Amino acid sequence: MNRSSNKLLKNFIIYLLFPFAIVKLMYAVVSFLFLSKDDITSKTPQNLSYHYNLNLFGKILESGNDKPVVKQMETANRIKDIKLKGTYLENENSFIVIEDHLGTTFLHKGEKYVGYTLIEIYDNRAVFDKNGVHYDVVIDEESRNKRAFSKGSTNAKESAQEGMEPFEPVTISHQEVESYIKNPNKIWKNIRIQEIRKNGRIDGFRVNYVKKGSFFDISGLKSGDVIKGIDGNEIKSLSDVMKYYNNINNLDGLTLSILRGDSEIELEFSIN
Amino acid sequence: MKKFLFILLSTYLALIFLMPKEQLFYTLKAVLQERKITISQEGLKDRLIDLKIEDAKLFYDGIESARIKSISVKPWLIYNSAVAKDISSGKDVKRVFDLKDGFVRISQALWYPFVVKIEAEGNFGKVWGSLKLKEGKIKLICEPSKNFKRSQIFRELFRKRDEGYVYESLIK
Repeated sequence: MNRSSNKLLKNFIIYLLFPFAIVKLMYAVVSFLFLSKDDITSKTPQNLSYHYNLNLFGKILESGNDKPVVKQMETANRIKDIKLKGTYLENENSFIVIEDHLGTTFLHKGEKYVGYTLIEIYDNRAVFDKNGVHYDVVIDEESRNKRAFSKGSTNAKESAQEGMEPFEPVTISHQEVESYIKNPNKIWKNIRIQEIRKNGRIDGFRVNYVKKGSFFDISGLKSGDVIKGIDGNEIKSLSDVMKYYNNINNLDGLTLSILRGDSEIELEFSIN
Repeated sequence: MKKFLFILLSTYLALIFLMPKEQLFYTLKAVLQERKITISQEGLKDRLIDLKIEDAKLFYDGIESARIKSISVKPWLIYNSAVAKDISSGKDVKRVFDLKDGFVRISQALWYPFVVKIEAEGNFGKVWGSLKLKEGKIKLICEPSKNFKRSQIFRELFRKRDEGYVYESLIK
């Protein structure tokens, strides 16, 4: 009995325990050397749940919207790497446009962004809160200039001085936009675009074909154009484009930055 | 011989049972992240013989492209497979293509180590084909549904040939 149980134990060790121990050891070494121990802490992809209904481009520029600062906010460190591109003030519908390394995000009052809650919006700055500490983010100077410049580009003289071609805003109805959204084939019948990548990153979209007489043709797009940005924001990823595509119904207009040959032009679209 | 087979069997079982499946998944996520593909999941369970991923979202370049109710990965070494069930379009691409009740099975067997078989089904129809790992060549044949056949995505991707509608591409 004793001898047979010893044999059983020996067999158990040789046939089962030993291979399992060797494999465990091997996996431990492989895991230690090559495998990720924890889940990657990827930031939640951008918040796309913004709701707006305005001509972003124009509204941001409105200078008469200065809201009085009701109370002196405690100002702490600014949130690094976030660029405040614009603010839109309209009571409960106020929102801001921010940009970081992931792209552009629209944020309403009360919404959270990377752990910071947007609590106040002013003409040229936004106030975030984290654990009771307030953080001021001031509007990016470059954006302010860019927007001012873009707005001015509808004026032929100013545009010419800046080396821009003047273009009148093109108007499209919401119904027509809706018909394009419901039937994407309608878009692809009239225009063909192809993404351009530089070092793996999107560097604009080349227009390969524009159907003559189509809306895109009338709006001024030409074959060979490279779409570089929307509303003054550089297109860095497909999600930048999808955000506009999915929310186009809520927009009253947008501006495309186009590279045509060596010159930059801006096409303004008004949706009503 | 019998002893050798016993050791071989228990080693094989140990390789499957003790495989650090979660860590392998995290590593895969990190590799895919470099290619702008992000997977986020609500649940992850190592169930000895397989890895269950629940309520996953697939992002490409920040775009929520797909939502997957469950993925079961069976890394059995001799025969490996991943089955994704209840796949639907992500909210960012729904307008472009509204996928519902999608199903995908990806499998690879020891006897064809460099070929990954792909099968998929959904409201787009049926797709089957293979990825040849050595050549980096993917070939898919589609039997499209009426709606999908009319879509621009289908027209852009698939070309009609004798064997059906074929998509071929090289993966770098």
